Amino acid sequence: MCNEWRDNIWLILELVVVSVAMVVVMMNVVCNIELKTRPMGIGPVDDIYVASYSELNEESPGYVDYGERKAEFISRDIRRVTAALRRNQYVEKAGLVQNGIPFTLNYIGNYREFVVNGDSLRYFFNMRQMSPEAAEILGLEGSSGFSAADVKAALERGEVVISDYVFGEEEKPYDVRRLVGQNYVSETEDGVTVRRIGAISSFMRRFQYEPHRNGMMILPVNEGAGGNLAIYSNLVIKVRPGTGKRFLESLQSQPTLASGNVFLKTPVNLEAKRKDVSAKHDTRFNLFVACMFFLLMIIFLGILGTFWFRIRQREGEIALRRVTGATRGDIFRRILSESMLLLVIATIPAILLDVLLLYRNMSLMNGSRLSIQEVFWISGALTFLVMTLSILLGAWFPASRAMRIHPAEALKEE
Amino acid sequence: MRRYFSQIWYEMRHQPLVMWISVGGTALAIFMVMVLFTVDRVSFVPAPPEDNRDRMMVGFGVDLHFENGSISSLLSDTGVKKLYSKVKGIKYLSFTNAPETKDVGSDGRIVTEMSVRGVDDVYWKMFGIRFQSGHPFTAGDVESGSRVAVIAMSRARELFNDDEVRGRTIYINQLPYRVTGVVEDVSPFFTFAHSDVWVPYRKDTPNEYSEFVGNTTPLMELESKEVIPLVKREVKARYERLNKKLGEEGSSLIYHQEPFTLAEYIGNNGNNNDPDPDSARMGTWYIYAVLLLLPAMNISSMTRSRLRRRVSEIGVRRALGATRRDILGQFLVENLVMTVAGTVAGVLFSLLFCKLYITTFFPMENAGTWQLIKGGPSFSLIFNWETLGMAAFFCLVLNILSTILPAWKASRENPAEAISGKHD
Amino acid sequence: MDVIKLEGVEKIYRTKEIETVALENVNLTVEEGEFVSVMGPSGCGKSTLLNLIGLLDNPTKGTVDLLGSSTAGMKDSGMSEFRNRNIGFVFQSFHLIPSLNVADNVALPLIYRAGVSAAECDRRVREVLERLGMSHRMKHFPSQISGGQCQRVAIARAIVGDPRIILADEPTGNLDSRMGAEVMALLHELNRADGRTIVMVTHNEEQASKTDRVIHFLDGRQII
Repeated sequence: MCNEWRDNIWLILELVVVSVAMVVVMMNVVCNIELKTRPMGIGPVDDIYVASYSELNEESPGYVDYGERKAEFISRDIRRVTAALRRNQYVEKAGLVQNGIPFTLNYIGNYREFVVNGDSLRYFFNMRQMSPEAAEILGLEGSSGFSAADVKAALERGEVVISDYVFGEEEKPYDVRRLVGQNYVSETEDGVTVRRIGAISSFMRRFQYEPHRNGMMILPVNEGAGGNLAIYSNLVIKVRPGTGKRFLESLQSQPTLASGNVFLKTPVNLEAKRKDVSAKHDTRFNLFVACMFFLLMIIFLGILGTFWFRIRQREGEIALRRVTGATRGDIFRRILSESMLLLVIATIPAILLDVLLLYRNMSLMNGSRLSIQEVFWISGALTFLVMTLSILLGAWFPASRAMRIHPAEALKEE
Repeated sequence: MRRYFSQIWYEMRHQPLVMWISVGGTALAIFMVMVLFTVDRVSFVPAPPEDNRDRMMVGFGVDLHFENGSISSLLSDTGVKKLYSKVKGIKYLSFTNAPETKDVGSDGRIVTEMSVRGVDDVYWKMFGIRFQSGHPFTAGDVESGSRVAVIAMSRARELFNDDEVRGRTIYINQLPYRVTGVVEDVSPFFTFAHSDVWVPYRKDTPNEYSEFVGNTTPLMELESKEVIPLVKREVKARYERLNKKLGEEGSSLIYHQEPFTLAEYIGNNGNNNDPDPDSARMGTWYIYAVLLLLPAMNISSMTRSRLRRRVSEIGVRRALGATRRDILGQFLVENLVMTVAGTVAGVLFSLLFCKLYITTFFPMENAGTWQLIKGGPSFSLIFNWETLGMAAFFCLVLNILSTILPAWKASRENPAEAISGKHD
Repeated sequence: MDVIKLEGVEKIYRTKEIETVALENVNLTVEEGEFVSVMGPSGCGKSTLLNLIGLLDNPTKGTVDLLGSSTAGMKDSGMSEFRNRNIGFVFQSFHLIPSLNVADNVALPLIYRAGVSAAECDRRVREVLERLGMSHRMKHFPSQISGGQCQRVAIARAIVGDPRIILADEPTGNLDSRMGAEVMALLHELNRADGRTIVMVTHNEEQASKTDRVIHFLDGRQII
């Protein structure tokens, strides 16, 4: 018995160490899953492509000198190239954006102060521009009582759309609906433009692991209105479902879409961009998941080995129990509960250690929206659950062997 | 030695499960540690075409402070010359532009986006990039800004469906370039040798704020890795000399221990920080320690149980004249055989895993580039003397951690009690 | 010369709860070439006596002199070397190492002796096994031979290092009478032909009566 207790203390020590390591890993995994699965504010992007416009260099063959009317001609060229692309048989819809796509880390930071009923409300935002079509293609969601259709309609009316999250200077969120109907005034070289804030959309996150929420303001891009379109615009393209590859091949098999000095660069799948942007985070996430499996494997093997020995050493005792009336099930359950008892005993110091080490360790949070308490207890519970499973699995095999011990034979060997 | 094997073989037959757990646990631990180690080292291990990784240095950039403001940027060619030209110990100094993604095509068609790197003639001497046909561009090409290019074989095939593309024209962002050579593909594991297309390095146009600010990344190959501190010292002295002059104009260069070694360069996230590869390395060693300690606890308890079943054997051996050290030695060696077996299995699995799935854990910046890797990293990147030595080291650590305690206890048994099987 | 000389030997086992006196004031001398049997009921201290003579354990009080020199203050490694060179053990349950074959089992004492070459070791193992008629079983494992053969191997192991003292703890206890007789004959031969001193613990009156001297123990005390 003395030996068994020494084994048990060893196992408990191991379980404590593993569970602390496991909680650290689990907190990371939980936070990352929370981040990864948080809504992006847009629809699926598998069939969406993004292409950017570019301009011929003056050394390029076929370069035309536009002189003074450069802006006007470039706008014309962009319209022509866009129109040509829309004629592609695989294209369903296309729309223009500037700083308007997710999965790039661009951030054009800005803030405005609005006075509503005497309150001064500050709104910090990433400045984006989208045509109504682009908003529809991306599947930009409405929020705070506005639908996706409301958002699109507001952009069509030339109004401004803001996102539902407000990061005020005093970090005190206020009801963003109070800003609807206010005027957004922008000053450019061409003069002063006044636009009404017409709808509220969801916040379109820049990438899946983006920890912070920011405000976002969308100004409308109106291709049809004859205004100037900028060369740094992007074209968001929705292709017919599943035809992405053929779409790209069709573009590559013909001369590059171009008009005057403007040409369209190779479209890139937005889903591929999503993978690119999160690649580094994904590998880290994979590493944590792998560590989790490793830790579980370790305790599985530890329990399996120790209990295997224990059963062999206790054959006589088990046989005696059988003789005195224990059923096979009794034996089986006894072994399993013994292993569970170890976990329960280990859990007490583990929780203490975890609380001591991790409860205030914000660096594990990765910017998750959950509170540290939530993450901590969810991770703790999940750790307990997966450890229970692997311990039960580890004890199962020895326990079923113990169940099969033949009383007479075992006693004779004694 | 034969007797040790005999002993192990006997236990294998009589306690297969426990032996498998011991060997399997070792293999698992070694697998995990070796995969992490290999992933960690892939960026630093010297291997063709970057055989010089251990004696390579990079100028990250410049951190320039004015009276009211600062600029941190890549260096200009003038800046590179002032800081790194003719430094004792530097064998090659190459001027390069960091790779950019550009649209590359042929005959007026854009075919695809490719990574384009600007390099000078010295660059081709630094790296063992192999030419399939043609030749690199010359110092003259770089000087005159000729539109010539070297292209990787697989990308050339993509553009022309043809291997022999020397002399033909490719369009990079719609500008025509003449191909002077085709090289064997270089995998993206090589931070500086990798590219799809190489074009001549562009000299910087003068910057309005400072002659140090530009778009150049200087790469250096040193005569040997021993001269690294020497080079650092010399460059630091140059910073001090330059700052004496700059101080009169009210500006100063902040020294960040440049140029960087490869480890410092890869671990650094911005040029306003001093490199700190040591603390990152410490973190990794903590992880290794946990990954080895936990399985060691397991195996140790297995070993203890095994030795308990052999306690009367220990007593007999002692009676026949074995000293405590004999017993300790015997179990250490016996377990070493098993640990070595587990290590060999673990290393083999880790090699296989790294060859096939290294991108699962490799901290890559851009998944798109990595999807182009065919067949994984080259063998020399994942298996070398370093990995072998490390595996041996981890093996020994694991063996000592998992065996020393039980074996030591076994050797302290009172022989009289051990023989009769009475023991605690 | 006195090969074994015990003076005022006392052995007390202490645990937290109880104190057990295993041997009390034992004075004993065994001369060179003597064959002595030790008799007494279970737990009378016979095995403890053998352990003390075999340097497997230290007395609580008193002195144990072997081959004319004192063993008091000997270090553990010194005792190991002394056992290796001068004492051969034969146990009731043979205590052959199951994972080693017959030859390897017999070779053990030579392995733990410095300066014995592999060839020398092989030669002596072969020699001693031939003498005991076990050379045809050299490559067999203990589980593959009979109990009597096991004890022969154990005796071979006890004498391969050419010790002057053989300590046998109920060497025939696990054997049937025919095999027991064979083993006893063997021990007598080792005593007579080689002149080795033998101390044997036994329960068997008949076996004891054939030895030079019988010592009786009761409750840790030597009674004759």
